[in-house]
Amino acid sequence: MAPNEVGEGTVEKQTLEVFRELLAELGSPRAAEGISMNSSLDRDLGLGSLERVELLVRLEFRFHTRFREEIAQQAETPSDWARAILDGYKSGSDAPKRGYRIVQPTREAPPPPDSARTLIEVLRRQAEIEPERVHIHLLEEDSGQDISYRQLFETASSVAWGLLARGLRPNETVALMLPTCADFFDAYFGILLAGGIPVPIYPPARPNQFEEYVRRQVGILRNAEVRFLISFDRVKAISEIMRVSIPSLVAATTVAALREGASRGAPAVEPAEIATLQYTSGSTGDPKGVVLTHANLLANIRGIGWAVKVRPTDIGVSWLPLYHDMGLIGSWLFCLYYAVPITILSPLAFLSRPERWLWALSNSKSTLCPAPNFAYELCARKIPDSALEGSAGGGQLDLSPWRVAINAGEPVLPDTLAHFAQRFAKYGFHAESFVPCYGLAESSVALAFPPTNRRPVIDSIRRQEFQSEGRAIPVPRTRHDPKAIRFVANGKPLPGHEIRIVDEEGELVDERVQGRLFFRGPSMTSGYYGNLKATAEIMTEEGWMDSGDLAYWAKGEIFVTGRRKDCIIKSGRNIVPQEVESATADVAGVRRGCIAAFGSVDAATGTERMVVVAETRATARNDILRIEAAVVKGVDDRLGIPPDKVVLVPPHSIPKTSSGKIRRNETRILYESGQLRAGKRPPWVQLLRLWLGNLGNWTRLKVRHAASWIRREYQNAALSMTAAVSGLFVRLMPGKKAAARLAQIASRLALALTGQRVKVMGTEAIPLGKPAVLMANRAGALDPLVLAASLPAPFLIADSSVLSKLPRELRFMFRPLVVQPLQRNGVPPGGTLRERVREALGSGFAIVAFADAPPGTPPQASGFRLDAIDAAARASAPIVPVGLRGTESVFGAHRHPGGAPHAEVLVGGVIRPEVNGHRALTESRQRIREAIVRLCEKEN
Amino acid sequence: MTDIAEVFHQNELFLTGANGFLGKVLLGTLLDRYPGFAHLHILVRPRRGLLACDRFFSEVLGSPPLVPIVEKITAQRGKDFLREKITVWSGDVGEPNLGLDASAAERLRGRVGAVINSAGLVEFFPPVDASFRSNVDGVEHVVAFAKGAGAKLVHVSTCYVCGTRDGLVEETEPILGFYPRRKGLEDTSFNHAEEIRYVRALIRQIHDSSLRLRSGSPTLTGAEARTGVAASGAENGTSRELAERLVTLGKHRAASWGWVNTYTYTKSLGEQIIAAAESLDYAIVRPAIVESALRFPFPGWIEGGRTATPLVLMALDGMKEWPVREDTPLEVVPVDLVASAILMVTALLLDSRSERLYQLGSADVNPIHLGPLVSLLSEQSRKREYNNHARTAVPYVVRKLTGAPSDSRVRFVTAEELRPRRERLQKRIGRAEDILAATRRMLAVARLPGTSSLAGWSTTLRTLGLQASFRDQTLDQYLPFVLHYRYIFESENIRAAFALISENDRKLVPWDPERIEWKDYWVNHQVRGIQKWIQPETARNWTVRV
Ligand SMILES: NC(=O)c1ccc[n+]([C@@H]2O[C@H](COP(=O)([O-])OP(=O)(O)OC[C@H]3O[C@@H](n4cnc5c(N)ncnc54)[C@H](OP(=O)(O)O)[C@@H]3O)[C@@H](O)[C@H]2O)c1
Repeated sequence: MAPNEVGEGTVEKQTLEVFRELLAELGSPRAAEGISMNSSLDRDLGLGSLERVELLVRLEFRFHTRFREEIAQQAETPSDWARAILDGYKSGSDAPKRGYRIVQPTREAPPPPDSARTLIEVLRRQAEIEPERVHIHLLEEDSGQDISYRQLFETASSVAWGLLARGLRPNETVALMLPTCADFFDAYFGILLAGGIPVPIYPPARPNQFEEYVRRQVGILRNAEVRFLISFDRVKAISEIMRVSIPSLVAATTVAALREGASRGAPAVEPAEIATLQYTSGSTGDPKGVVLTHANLLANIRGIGWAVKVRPTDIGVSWLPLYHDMGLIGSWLFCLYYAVPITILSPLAFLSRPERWLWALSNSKSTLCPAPNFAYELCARKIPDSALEGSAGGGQLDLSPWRVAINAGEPVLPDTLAHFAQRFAKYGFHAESFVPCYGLAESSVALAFPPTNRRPVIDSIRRQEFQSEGRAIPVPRTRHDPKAIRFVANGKPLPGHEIRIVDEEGELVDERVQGRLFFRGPSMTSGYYGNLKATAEIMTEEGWMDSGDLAYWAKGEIFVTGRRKDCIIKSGRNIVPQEVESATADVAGVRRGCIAAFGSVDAATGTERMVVVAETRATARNDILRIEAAVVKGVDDRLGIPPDKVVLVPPHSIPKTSSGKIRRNETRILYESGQLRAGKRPPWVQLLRLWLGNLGNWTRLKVRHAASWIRREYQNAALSMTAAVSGLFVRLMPGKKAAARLAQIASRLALALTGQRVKVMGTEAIPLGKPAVLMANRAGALDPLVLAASLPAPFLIADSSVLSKLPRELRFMFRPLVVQPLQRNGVPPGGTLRERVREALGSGFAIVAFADAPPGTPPQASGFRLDAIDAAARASAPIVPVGLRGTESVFGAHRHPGGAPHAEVLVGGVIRPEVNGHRALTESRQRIREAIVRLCEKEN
Repeated sequence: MTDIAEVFHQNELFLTGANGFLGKVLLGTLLDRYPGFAHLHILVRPRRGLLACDRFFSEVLGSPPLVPIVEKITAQRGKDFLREKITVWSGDVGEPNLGLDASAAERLRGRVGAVINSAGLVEFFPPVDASFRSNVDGVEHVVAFAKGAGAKLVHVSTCYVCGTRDGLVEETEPILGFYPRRKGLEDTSFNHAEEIRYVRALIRQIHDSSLRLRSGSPTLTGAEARTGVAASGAENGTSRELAERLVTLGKHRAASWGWVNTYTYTKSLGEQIIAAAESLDYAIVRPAIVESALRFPFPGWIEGGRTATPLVLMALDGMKEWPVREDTPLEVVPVDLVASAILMVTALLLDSRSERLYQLGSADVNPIHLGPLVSLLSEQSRKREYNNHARTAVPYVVRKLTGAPSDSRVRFVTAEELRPRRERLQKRIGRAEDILAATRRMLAVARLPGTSSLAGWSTTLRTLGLQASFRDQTLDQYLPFVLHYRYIFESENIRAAFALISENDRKLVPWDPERIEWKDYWVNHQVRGIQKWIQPETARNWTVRV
């Protein structure tokens, strides 16, 4: 159809037709009937971001035109679209492009700042050694800009001065409500440089809803106790209103305003320990701001770097939202750390035209890029072929450099991987590039990674056993089972992190049995900001954290199968069903407390759809239509996202527990299988209980803070007192044996007084009162103390270097236990280690030879002294391997709320080294090391 | 028991790197202790207009440690002894076939029992192609040569190939596939052959692109082109940039795998080439930091400003704030012990009784920690200051300018604490210079005297600034060894080897680091040695080496 043949009326009619078709396909025929040119896309029609992309594609196809991209996400009504179509005809299609070209740095990335302890040090270092290296290629519309390290550092410094001038004090929080733009980066580091804590919050998708939108974030802003809000210009207008509801707020401001002062280098402010609060939910109800320290983020970034084997020639791309962990940490900060040049485009740019992402990958010759599953599905299905053809001036779409295509953030669907690989193989994409991994905000961002350069491993299992008993029984390769469920392998935990799968009682489950995924490690958050209750709910005594996800182990890898906590992931946001339900409950005609909201994975789009099931007594069609629309509007108002599907059902259709709690998961299964029927009884008890539960939260919080402070101070005092007093006696003891025994008693006393628990296993292997060499790995600075307290017999220490990291009093106490052989000619003062061990064994003692490595080094990578083994072999003394775990958390500063630290001393069976020459010795060492590795890896 | 004299009497040896610090002592030990050796072939590259042969006779045999030995031996065994027993070959390990022509190679085939490869480029951060030439290509060629000649290979590497590691470095760790960040034996991310191929390609690219730049330099006017003025200017610019890019490339490659500098990275590549070579019988010897001689040729002999020398000089200059970890041992071995060990290993290898790897360290039996060491050295510096008034002025001014504490106690600081102080020093010097310049201008305008002495002052200041920043740069190169990491090199294999040789040989080639009295060694050997053999030279040029 040629443009000039089309009149205004025809355009409107055809636009509506496209809308109707789509709505009918989406399963909302009722909305399709009621549509008019002025229906609201969000409220009346319930069309979310993805559907808007679909609309764009269909309308472009129908009218042979190209729209401006923003239209897809900004249009409010069908008539906006119609206008855009007519405009499109007038101005012709492709707007002339301003020439922005991505030019990558010619030099390789400098080595990563491995010794940096904060993000500030990272940025500072990059700005020092490679000031002009491009850090970000920021794509905007068809133009773009380059941001170098120097630029970022300088602008951020001036933002920092602006914040300080307005009175920001150390450790105060600043909310950051900005879309993807240069200001975001400046503001983020500005806050850090000023000693503050950035709190990124998702910005409103459509600016005209701004005021209303900010009001919705009050829950988060109040919980975070924000002092400033950095946002758009318009934010100032409403700061008065906000100040009333957010008592901590000093002002709402913009980056431009903050930068007004003269720039004078970065301020010298001690950075906060916390690097970011990452809110995963909490527009209403229960705000959960994941506390992430610099140490957490850096540990995670380094872990990812190891997992993807970063190369100095790598190049990144991201369209992920910056307020979300994957975009913020996994993409931007990761690239900052490794000095990988990153091309960033906005999520809207991607959603409007997914092909822009692929072109960005191709034009920047990107090697690394993460995206959630739906992005891959969208590209596989929704991009017209024409959009992938080479541009007139430029080259072909080339995805061949892309070596790490991370798929994370939502369930990875095997079909999506297949579709994408199939469609883009001819553009050079290799299926080996897929890296389907697993992570969550509570672990900074990433937790488990499969090896790179491997085709995704897919496990086909029998549906029946899996759904009824949670057992993942593989379907034989040879048989095709159409009903099989397929999961994608997510690899192993990042180095230094641990995952365990447990049943409801907390017991470890067998391989190929589904259970709850618990984890711990250096990337793990210490909890939710100002929300002890929510923190306590996911932490265990032993410092494990409940991910809320379900998974099983198979073939040494983790397969994440679903979510235990009911939470909906939509457009990169975590939505708590309770919030959706409470918004729905306000709609007249809906039965309160009889609403279930959940996410349901839609195989077609590869993403989750937010479904609201609500009971109603209404039966008349008109009433039903009205209630449906009101639910859509209510949820959109409250959360800024309309539900994808509203299902109204007769009373007692939604299954509940005996105590009256909604069973969301079962409702979901019923919904997915099309069996929503009548259920049983209505519970409102739950609401009452919830309300009661909130009372007294505040007082408990204060008391806990004080208590943990007192406990820490007390522990330190008790430890030093015990050690100092006993140290004196230890020194006064006439013989080594008595000294060692006394030190042992003192160690037990110190641990008991401070309430530290140590788990000890296998000590019966230690020959009591006989000479022996104990060989142990280094887990924490307090290893000697923990060992002394937990072994049945006293021992001496072979090498004084283990004492150097101990507190002074402990060093004083343990020093007499270090053997000093007699001065002999030609032997260095203090004797060689071999002599010291020999001396101790000769006089009938047990002696400990620790691995010579810094505390925390895994036994695989620790050096064990061959001379100690040699001395044992010559004295025919047995060697006892000892595995130490978790001693670093004894008296640790970062105690997990509610959980006691848990050190473990695991003793293995005796090993007798052979006297048979040098080779035999090294073989014995290998056996000892393997034994210690096994002990340290043993599941309890 | 292996009888070393007998083994050397049966087998001819081929030595590279004889011109070096270690090579000379090695040669001296062989001549002095085993004069009955069958024959020695020495590869020397012609340089600075000297033929290989002349270089050998003047630079090596004419050097202070060798002169007495040569005199003794010619007195005992006649004038022609050395000419008969030693053949000097002109060549370069960086060239295929060591730069020897086909006939030479033919003559050597079947004659040589063992090749001892001590040639290497010991600079920390050179342009990566230079480092490759001596330490990677060099090893490839030596391996090919040894195989072709049917000889075994003793290769001199360095303990620090372990890279960024902390604690005991075991000798049993497999060589092939090693990189410092390796996560265990299952981690096979590093493949030396691939890495070498990759870096060679990058080197080629960098060379090509700079060639293109040079040939395509479009700004030449006709006159300039004729005189060539601008052209040579541009060429200088590009060649400096070229070198810089090559330096950076090496740094990055090394650091991204976890090596602390280009030197150790290329040395490790060299080791892996050997470990991967098929049908080659070899032993790799890894000395730690090689320092002045304990006994042979005479106590305190040291050459070049390498190893820990710059640190010693800084201490003697009165440095008070040390970015070092007190409890870190400094892994030092005297050069004569290293020479002994290499001869011992060569003999055992020829006798087919050797291990693959020998680390030569001292800290596993007899550590000297940096805390006491630094105190000891600064004590020496105080004694020196007393004798040498001229020196006290500079530290005094520096102290005033940096605001460093003026008492004489040694302090151990972190690198972070040092950084702002350095910056402050440079800033203050800059400011003082500005003031001086302004005053000078005023004096000149007012036609007052004194401008020339002011000019003298500002030169002094500028020198001071340069010296300080040079010192800081030097210090930074050492941080991995003295602050960031704590190394202890297990040296059990060489102890086991020592037990395999005859009683008599144990006296001739001793290995006894446990007997070293460190205090005496540092004060009487090392410091004196440096003062005697190095000081004048280092004032000109501090080469930093391990
Ligand atoms: N010094 C230490 O502290 C230390 C520590 C551990 C290991 N090492 C190792 O010990 C060996 C010797 O060290 P050093 O201290 O004696 O070093 P050095 O004094 O710098 O001597 C190096 C020698 O290698 C020769 N060489 C370098 N590149 C060559 C080439 N392409 N062809 C032929 N010869 C070449 C040099 O010859 P020219 O005279 O012609 O330049 C020089 O004779 C090196 O492999 C080094 O890695 C040294």
